[in-house]
Amino acid sequence: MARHAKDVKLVLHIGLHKTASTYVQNVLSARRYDLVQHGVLYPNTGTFEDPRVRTRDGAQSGHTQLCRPDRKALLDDLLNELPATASTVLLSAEDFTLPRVTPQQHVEAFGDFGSIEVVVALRRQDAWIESYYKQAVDQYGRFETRSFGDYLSQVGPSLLDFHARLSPWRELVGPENFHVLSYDDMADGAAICRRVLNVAGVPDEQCDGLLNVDVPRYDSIRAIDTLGVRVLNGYRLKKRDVRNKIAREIYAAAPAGDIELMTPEMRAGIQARYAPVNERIESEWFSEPVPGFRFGHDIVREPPQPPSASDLIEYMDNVIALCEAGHGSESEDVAQ
Amino acid sequence: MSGISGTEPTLEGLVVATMFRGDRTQLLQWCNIHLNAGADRLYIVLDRPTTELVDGLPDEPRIQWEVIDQEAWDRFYPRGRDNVERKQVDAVRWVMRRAAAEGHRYLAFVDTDEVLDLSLPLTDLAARYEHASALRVPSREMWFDGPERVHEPFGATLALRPASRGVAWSRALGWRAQYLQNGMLGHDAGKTIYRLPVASGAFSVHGPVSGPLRSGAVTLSYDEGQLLHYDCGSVATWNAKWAARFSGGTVAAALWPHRRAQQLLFGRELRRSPQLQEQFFARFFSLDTSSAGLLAAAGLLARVEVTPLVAGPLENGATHPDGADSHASPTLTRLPDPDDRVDYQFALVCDQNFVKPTFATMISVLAQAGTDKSVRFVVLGDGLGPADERRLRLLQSIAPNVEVRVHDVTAELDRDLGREGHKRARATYARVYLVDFLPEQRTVYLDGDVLATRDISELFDLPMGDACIAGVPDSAALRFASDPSTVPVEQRMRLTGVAGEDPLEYVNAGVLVLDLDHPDFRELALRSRAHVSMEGRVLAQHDQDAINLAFTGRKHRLPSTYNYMTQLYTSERCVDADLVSLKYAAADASLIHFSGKVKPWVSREDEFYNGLYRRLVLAAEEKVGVSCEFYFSRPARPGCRRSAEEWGEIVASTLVRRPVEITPRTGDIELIDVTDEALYLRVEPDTYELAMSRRLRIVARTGDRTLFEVGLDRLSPQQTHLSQRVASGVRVLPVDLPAALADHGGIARHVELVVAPSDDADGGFERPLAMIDALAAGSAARSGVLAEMGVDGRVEELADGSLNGWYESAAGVPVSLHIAGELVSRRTPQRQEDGRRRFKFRVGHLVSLGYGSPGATVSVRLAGSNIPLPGETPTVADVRAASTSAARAPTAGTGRALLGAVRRRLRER
Repeated sequence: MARHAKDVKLVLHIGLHKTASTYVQNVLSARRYDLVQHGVLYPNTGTFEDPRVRTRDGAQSGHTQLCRPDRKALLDDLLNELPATASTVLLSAEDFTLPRVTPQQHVEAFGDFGSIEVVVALRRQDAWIESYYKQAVDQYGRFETRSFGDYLSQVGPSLLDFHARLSPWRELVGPENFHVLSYDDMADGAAICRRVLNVAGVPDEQCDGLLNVDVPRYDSIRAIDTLGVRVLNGYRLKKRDVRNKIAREIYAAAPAGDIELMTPEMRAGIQARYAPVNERIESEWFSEPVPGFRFGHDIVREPPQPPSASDLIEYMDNVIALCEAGHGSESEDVAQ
Repeated sequence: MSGISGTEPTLEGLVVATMFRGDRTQLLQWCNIHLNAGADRLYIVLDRPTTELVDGLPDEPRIQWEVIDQEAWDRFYPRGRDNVERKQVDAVRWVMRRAAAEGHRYLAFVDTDEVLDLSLPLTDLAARYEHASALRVPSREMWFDGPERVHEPFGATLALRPASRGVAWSRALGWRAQYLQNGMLGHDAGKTIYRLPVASGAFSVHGPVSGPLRSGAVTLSYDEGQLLHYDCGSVATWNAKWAARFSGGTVAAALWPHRRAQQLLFGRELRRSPQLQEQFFARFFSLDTSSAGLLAAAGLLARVEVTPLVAGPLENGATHPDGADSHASPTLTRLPDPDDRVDYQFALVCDQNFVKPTFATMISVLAQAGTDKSVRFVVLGDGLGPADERRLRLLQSIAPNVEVRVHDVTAELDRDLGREGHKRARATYARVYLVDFLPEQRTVYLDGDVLATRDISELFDLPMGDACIAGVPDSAALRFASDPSTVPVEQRMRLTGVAGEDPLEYVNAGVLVLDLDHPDFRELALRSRAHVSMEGRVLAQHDQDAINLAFTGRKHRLPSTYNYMTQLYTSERCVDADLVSLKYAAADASLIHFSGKVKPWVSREDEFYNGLYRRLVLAAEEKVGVSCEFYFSRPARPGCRRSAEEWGEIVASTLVRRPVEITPRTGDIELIDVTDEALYLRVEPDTYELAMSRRLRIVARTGDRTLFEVGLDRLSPQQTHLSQRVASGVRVLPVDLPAALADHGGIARHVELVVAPSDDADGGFERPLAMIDALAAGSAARSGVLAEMGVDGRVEELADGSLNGWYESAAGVPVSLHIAGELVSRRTPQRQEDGRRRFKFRVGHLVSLGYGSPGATVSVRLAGSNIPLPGETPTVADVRAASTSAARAPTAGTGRALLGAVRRRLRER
């Protein structure tokens, strides 16, 4: 058992969700044994997930189990996994930013380590909240059925102020150990992964080789998919695998074309409210300009062509039929 | 007993220090008073002075002028964290060191509106309290004896002692009493004379708070000395002091509620003409014969005259009692009066339970008034959250002419009414604070259970004669006037007491027209505020009684159509013919007050007024285009139809930024411990960044010798592994303590740590960090040092993987566990059954976490001193061995314990 944690630096990559974190985790998982050669442990502890919980391939949440309040035994496992050669432990999980456990509780939980550095990627709120909503709808846990407008008005106010959300982390680990990245101002997920590796102590010239690996893509679902899956969520199917199987079928059944979730008014409202917050973050937390993050340029995107009315009707019929079938199979199980 | 006006100088042997930012005349007079009273030397720290002030300062060998400019503050304090109190404490630490180096033995730190008045010579007091580390001096606050001398900073002559109980302050001071705490406008904590070199421990602006400094302090009686606090100053200093606060020139750490109330009051007054300001000042800060007599009879008031001392040796513009300039009109700052009148201004109060109905009241008014006129709603909130405020402000996005201001008065209510016992009705008391927050123009106040059925704009032009408020007689008053037998006698008598002979004088406070344009309104409103502040808990009808009392004879009676109280007209008491006819005559009301206990937004019962409420709200929602989100409300508009402004309001953050709880937390930079190889400092993020950008250093000195200095750029990252056992946010700064103390035999006394600038070329202000009684390297501390420090203790044994011992310290300093010269843990020993303060460090567990190599030593030391306690000093190998044997022992130990227990049981039988 290697218990020398007080001499080890812990690096926490805490997200945010929808900032290429899954890509980063997939790369780090693939390079786990290479990283150990660099003195960096990307541990197995805390990463186990049931593949049936995902609706799509390529999904993972990193060390999500180490984000939970009931992680004491896992922390012992983590110390046991720590080789004597490691000077850094690198954990990655977006769920570190969920409100169920406070930053202070996280830092206290990892109190055996000598020091902690935190890396977090930020993304302009008008783009981020839409992706986050799609993920919320896609997930099984809370059976999200709200419209994007309702979600934005009810959940947005507690999520969008990144300065208020993340300042506790910065205070707890110290400003020099708190590293922010701008998703909107970096070339791609590989650039984010490179910065995470740099913070973990991997020299830049070594990163090229580590990043040269094929990993599955895990993009957000489409806006139109949220319509069908919200209906599915309304059925509140109890079996996760049944629900996820139907979700995959709904994704496959979606017609060509797409819809807009974010209206121009919503976008303008978010930008007006959070531009000062982002400018403050830029001046206090970043050492380089991040015009993308502070809404410095418009999101240039062709408005999607909506599906035809008949395609939409056929799609919704399909969705309801799939949901009814799933609901029926669960009812039969109960009857038996 | 005052000694300052006597002939014998009482301050000989004393240095008096102050930090100054304000009126030059006051400063020079303050200097004269203390020099004339015999002070050996004055240290004046000028806080960001103007060039004119510095250039015009007189030369006087007994005065040391020190300048700290903005750049110096910025060098050591992160912006936004440089509050007055901390600056003062750090400045006086700095001055103490210089005074001690010059050989002075006593230093008092007071403000420039405070005078040290010792009844006995300091030399006598020093002899009487030979071993005291500090002498606390109790305070009196100075009031004017009439308006004649309000231009003199030290012209007040009535000295009032604080008293927390048994004094009828309202009777003595009228409505001004609400601005006092324990009878004081300012502090009642006094100030302190310190013996130099100052003992270790922290102190506030008032006196010692920890360490030997605190444990060794004594408090003087009023017969021995007192601090005369001229909090009022002169009209010029008062104007300058509060104008600076409003312009952001000075930042107080946190205002007590009574100070906050004063700030709101004075802020209004500073917007008036200089002449009116002076009139207010004279009335507010003077005690008339009656007041003075009452307070003197209570033994609280004495007369003290310092004016003979304000002249010479410094030329100060002459403020002698007979001086020609003493009544010269000063130049007063007048704060800008915001030009923000609107067509209609409404006021409301609410707590979280009343947010939705209050919103309904607002939209009902708006639906009737239309949006072509400018409308302002001022809402005072009790415990509202960000989401509540956001809902109330939502109306602003409906029309450009609508403004909503929400002010939080939770602190005021906490202070005046307490947090318990008023839950249901507490928010209604907030009406009396409207005087502090309303822009000055006629205003209609509405309860949150009132709805408008038609435009009520005529109330804004209503002729009210000499009345300051207008309202509708309360339901109890109407019943009383109609048939007294329907009102319980106790209630009748109370109404008579409040309203006099005509019960209809008693108005219901649910709808009020407040004529803030009337010149008398303000003082009458402050009287009602005083009733709540001073006697709020005894008011049967809450602030309604207070308002009726204060505005007696100045109320205009409105017809019942402006406050149609449903509770009265639906009650079984409404049987008298007059009341029944009024019920029908006023039924076509403009403002309906749903005053019943069961509210229509809660009850789904199909009752007439419930239905009326629902209909009125639905109509208002439809017209204004919003939803109150009641169970019967129209649904909120779909998101896609909202404007960008509405979305901006909706997505506003509900997160409240609270700083992370850092323990212990006494400052933004703090010494936690010292070892042979390192200082352990807790440094907050802002200060860390400042230290890096300014390349600040830590310098340790004893006397005039520097022990070591080290740049803060060598600070380690925050040591997470210490956060649970020591403190969070701790960083390590490497030092070589044995080398630093080599010339001192390994131990130095009275070591001061300061934060110094990157180079010592400027030789100015340095920020004090800590005063260490004794600092030792290795095991060099003689055993006698502990006794000299008032410390006794011993590490007794290493048993069951724990290092145990006991420790006594008058100063309450904690003890640290060091393994291989590293800080690992810290304890403040607790007193046990055997009467000793015991500590227990689980070293076995700590060694298992990787602290120390086998040959390294484990020791228990005084935190911050690096002095080991005598007794056991095992090695890590010893600890491991002891832990291993302890781990093996349980079976045998348990067996023995069981056997012992059985034997005890047998003996007991």
